[in-house]
Amino acid sequence: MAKIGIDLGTTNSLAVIYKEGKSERILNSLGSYITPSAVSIDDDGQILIGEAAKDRLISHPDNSASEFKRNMGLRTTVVLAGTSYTPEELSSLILKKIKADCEAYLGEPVEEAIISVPAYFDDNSRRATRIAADLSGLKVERLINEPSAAALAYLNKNGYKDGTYLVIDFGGGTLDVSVVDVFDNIIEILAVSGNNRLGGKDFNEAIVQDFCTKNGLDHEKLSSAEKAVVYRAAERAKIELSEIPMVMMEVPLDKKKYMLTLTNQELISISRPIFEGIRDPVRKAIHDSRKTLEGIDSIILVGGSCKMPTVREFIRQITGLEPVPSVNPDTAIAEGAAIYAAMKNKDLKDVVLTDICPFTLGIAVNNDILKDGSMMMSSIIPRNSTLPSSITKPYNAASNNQVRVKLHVYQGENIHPEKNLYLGSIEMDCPPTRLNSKICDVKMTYDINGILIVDAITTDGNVVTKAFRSNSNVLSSEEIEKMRSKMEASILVSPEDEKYRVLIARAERVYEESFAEQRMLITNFLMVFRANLERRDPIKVKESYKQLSDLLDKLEY
Amino acid sequence: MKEIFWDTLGIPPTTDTKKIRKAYSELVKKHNPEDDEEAFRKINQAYRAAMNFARQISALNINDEQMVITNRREDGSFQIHVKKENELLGAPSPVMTSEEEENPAKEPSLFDFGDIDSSRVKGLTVQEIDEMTGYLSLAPGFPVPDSEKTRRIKKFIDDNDLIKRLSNLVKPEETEEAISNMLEVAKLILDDEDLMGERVLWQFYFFSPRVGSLAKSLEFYSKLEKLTDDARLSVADAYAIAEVCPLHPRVNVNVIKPNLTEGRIDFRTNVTFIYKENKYPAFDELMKDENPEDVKELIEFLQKIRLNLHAMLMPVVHPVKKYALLDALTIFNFILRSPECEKIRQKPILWKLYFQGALIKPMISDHDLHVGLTKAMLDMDLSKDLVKIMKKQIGKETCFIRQKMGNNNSYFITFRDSEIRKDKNGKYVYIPYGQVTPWVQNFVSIAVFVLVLIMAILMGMTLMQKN
Repeated sequence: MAKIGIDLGTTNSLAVIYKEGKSERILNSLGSYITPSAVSIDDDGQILIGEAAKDRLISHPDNSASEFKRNMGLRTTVVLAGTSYTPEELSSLILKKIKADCEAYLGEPVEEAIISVPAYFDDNSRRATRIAADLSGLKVERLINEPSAAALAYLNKNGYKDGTYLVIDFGGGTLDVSVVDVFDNIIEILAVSGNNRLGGKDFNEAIVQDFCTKNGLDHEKLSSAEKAVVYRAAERAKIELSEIPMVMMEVPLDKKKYMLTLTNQELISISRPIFEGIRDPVRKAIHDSRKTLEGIDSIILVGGSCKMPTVREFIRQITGLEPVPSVNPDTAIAEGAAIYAAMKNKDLKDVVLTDICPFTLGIAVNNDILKDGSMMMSSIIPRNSTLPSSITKPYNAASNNQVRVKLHVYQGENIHPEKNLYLGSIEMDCPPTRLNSKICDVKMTYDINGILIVDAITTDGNVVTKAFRSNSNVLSSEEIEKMRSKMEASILVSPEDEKYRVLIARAERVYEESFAEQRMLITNFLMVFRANLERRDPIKVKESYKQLSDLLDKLEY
Repeated sequence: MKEIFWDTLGIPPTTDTKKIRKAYSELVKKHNPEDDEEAFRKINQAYRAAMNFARQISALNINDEQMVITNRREDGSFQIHVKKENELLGAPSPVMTSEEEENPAKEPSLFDFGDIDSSRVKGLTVQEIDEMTGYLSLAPGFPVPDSEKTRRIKKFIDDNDLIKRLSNLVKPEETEEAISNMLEVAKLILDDEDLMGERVLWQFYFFSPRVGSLAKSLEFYSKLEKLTDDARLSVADAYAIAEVCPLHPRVNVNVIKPNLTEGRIDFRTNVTFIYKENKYPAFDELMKDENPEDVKELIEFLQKIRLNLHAMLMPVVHPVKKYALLDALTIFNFILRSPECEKIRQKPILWKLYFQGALIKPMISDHDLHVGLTKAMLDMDLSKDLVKIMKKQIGKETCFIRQKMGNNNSYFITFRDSEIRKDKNGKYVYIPYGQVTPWVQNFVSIAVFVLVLIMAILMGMTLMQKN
């Protein structure tokens, strides 16, 4: 049974399998290895995933969703065609599609996968990812941190050379920085840092803002369809800037043509905060690893945003190191996840990856510095502890004859627990204890599967254990069950049908982006194509399919 | 026996991170975090602790061989003895190389040890030499090198009236009082956080006549040990003390309850002094056949200059050769140059103390010492009489009196293992033994040839007789 590695990205997802010492990218039903992380509900209630859904973000913004990875673990929902979806459900749809594509490609059932998550994903987001995998019918034993996966992909390609590497994974929605040390085939993640709210999408945002300001448009007043067109144009301009020094952005809005010329220099000046946001995590990761910049041997850039020359130049400037171009920034993470799956299967001997816990885990205690009755965070597992980690700390009674203890478990770096992420609590009785004498030991165990187990041990040996496993504290188990039945009922578009729907979605998107005379042409061709589809005339369908796609190709480029 | 983190890793204590990582990587491959969480966690904790240990200790340049684990305790704490190596009687190493000739000779100065200079004495830098000999600047007749550190130390010495407190020899009847006085002084130094790790100050302390005359007192040293223990010295401070103490001190690094889960290591250090009896003569023994008048004069002189009397008297070998060597040469320079020594310089008794005393005697055949002495003499114009006195006191060591090139009234001594000359440009020319002067070589080869000839003849004769 095949075990695959999946990069479940903010904008794009892909799957890779590692076999016979080589990683192989899995092509989807459209023959591409990248599946955009977008979901759209078609007019007949069927669900479109990937390219078609991405196109429909523009033509049918109300029925389509993307970038839900940013909300993983948050209690948010998106309403698509009258039904509300959680980020977990949307992600599970993507995974379901990938699973189906893999099975078709490999010709065997796929049940197990390693999914990559941003290193900076908090516990809730990780659990949400597991839930999504579970809903899609994939067994996910392990999540791998994206920069660790990228490092694995790089090292596997370059022979596990000893040294210290700085991995910067700057994707569509997240930035992860990690310091990786390799010695004698042991890959040690020393420190991770990042920002799960910073990504290539922010450049698009900056360009859109600039576009609106310069053209005197009010960003807020644009319809969602108009917004989608502008965002797409902004993204295309950003990508084109990687190749050519200056681009012209042309957007048809409300029968008028709006323009913006953009150079890399201008891009830098309008997206200053983004660059500044890159600097901090880099500095923090190096500091946490107890290394200095001089101690870094090479720098590995992954993630789509690292393809931008401005980003590369900025990283080169702040680190003084020339990034190594030997990994494919788009596929490295999925490759790494696949390699990790092989490592777990013992297909790859003598290579060991040790990962770390990216955040501090602790409990809230009385603030005995200020003594003002407020609570403060007492860390038990400090961030960047090697996994698995197990640490016991003793705690004292807060009042005389205390007979009950309530432990609130938090995750985060802030001294004020309320600013950190609340994970849950444990309550227990204990023998009466005098003020300031030991009341219990708290043992926290965080294993390589990202499962946190908290043991509270009273002085008379009574132990209360709580495992913070997949029971999300955002979602109840009934809710998860409900989601499961909903997901089982949802129908993905069949692969044969998909091709046509992709074309229709594309035509509709190009229509939105075009001017009046072109729109006429598109409508005509599209109507012919649709009519042929209805009539189920395979020869005519094929003929009109070609006509329409040729027209779109001509209009787009 | 309780397992400590070095046992977990299966290696002896080391500061070499490569060794630690190698041990770790081999263990991790056997106990993968995927299969054996518990074992991996333990190995990882030990690894972090060891790396931390190495990071903190490595700055002190302690060899792995010097560290020995002792006193393993139940709570996982242990002690590491840092043994100091005894280089003193080690094999001599050439001090100079052929590069010498390319470098112009330096202006001789009081702090120039006959050009046994800085970089060439094993591992010593100019800074270290300044540091080590700084205490000599406190003796009268020496110019004071002006640095922030010496000013601070001088101020400390003045403020506490240390010169007076340390300069007199201890008479047998006042031993007890002296011990408590000297411990008080040690406490003063240990209480000053800035100066507690100052080598110069400890040299001044240990080599003072008063502390020097307590050298045989086990009571004094065991109490001093206790003081260093209480002072909570950093490893570096303890090492500074151990390095200058003329006994055989060991630095004990106590690892207190290593916090393995966080990889934190707490150290507590103290210095243990080990007293070793040896065969070198004590002052009384050395002087027993001398004229009591002369002896009295010598003692007065030594007290007056407050100089390293202890080092010369103490029947204990200085444990670190480089310090012993520097002491020896500094004193030699001082005696030859200082106006204070004008009178006593001509007395054989001084040279007897110098060459037969416990400082020089153990390394009298040391190559580095020979080179240093010769060079110091080459920088001065010494009369034949003085050189003769010296040669007599050097003892059996093969040495020759030579006339300085181009100066008929100036003499110096060379030793059999090397030939050093100062050429016309003031450069030192150094010829290692074995290629001394051609005539010596010729002489040796002729002698060998003659010997072989005689043997052959003798053998021939015996054969003939038998027949």
